[in-house]
Amino acid sequence: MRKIKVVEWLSADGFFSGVKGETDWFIMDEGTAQYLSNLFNSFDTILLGQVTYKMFSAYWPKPDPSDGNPQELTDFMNNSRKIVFSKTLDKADWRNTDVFKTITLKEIKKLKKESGKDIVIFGSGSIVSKLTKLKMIDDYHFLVNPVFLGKGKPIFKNTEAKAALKLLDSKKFECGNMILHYKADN
Amino acid sequence: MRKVILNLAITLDGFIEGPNAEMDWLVKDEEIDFGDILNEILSDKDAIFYGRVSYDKWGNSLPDENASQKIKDAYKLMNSKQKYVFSKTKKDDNTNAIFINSTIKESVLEIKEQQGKNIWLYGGAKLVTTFLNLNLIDEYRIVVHPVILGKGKLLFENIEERHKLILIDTKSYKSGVTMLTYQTDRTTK
Repeated sequence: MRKIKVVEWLSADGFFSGVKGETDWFIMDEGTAQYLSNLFNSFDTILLGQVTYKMFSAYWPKPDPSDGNPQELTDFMNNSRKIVFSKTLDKADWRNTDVFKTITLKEIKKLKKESGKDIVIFGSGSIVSKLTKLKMIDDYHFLVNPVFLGKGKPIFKNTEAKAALKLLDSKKFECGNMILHYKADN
Repeated sequence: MRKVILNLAITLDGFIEGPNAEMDWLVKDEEIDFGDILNEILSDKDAIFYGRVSYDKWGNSLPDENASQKIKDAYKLMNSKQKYVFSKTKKDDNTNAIFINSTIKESVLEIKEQQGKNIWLYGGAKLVTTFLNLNLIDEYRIVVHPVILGKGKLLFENIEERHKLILIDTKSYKSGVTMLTYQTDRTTK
């Protein structure tokens, strides 16, 4: 069965974006990029909430060359199957994207049973929260960046996403990024 | 120069307390009890900074009568440190604690210049915020518990600026708790 894995960028004080959604504090080095590249190779499907979808679909079809994204990451984002959960979105223009109106346990279980690589969720606090509550997340990768934002958006805010996790491994990178990899105790 | 060090426990999603100040999410490690934690924090420090509210609440607390000898000793060690209390109004309480009523930045820089070991920034939240905004904290030892809480009180909410950090050490414990040690990066802005 396919796994659903959460990959989140976090600041050291636990925010996943600045107050206005800023992500300019993400830092990258060779080790981090290599780790993520290996991880992304295990996925072929991306789950997104509406907010993250809008951000990603505005960016990835034409990423800013000065951001220095590796081509394989851009390809991964554009070519993977995407599912956006949204009550209001009627259609999604980004290549390979389907819109699901609701999150149901049945639907998610079906998705996990389909053949293919694993499924990833980026950002999308509300989706992570719901799927955590449904015990449908298999593991979590948090990439903790060496910065205090001091204010910003918490990944969860007043959600039911309560979970005790098991630390599988952790890895420190030269630039000060730290990967904390956990398994859900479902 | 002496360092001002903040030790804290945080959930993965950035909370330091539950919505009703719950601390029941702290993951217990069978190898480490409260005495060990206190001893570890105190091992490189000889002074403690308190906000007035925290000091009134915890500054002179004593261990439970039935506590283990280790915990009793740890409290004794804590109470042997030089305590500084930051308060706008309170000037003295007939203990050895030194009360600082104004010029926080100048006072702290002066204390940091003095001979001695490092300083434990005990809290609470208001004092930590003030210290962070004044750029007075040198090191953070953040203990990340393997827990998602979903709601609660965030570590920081309205800090003026971003603070760049340098990750200097990491340590994982059997319980899944990870300690991340950061230094304030004062080389870049």
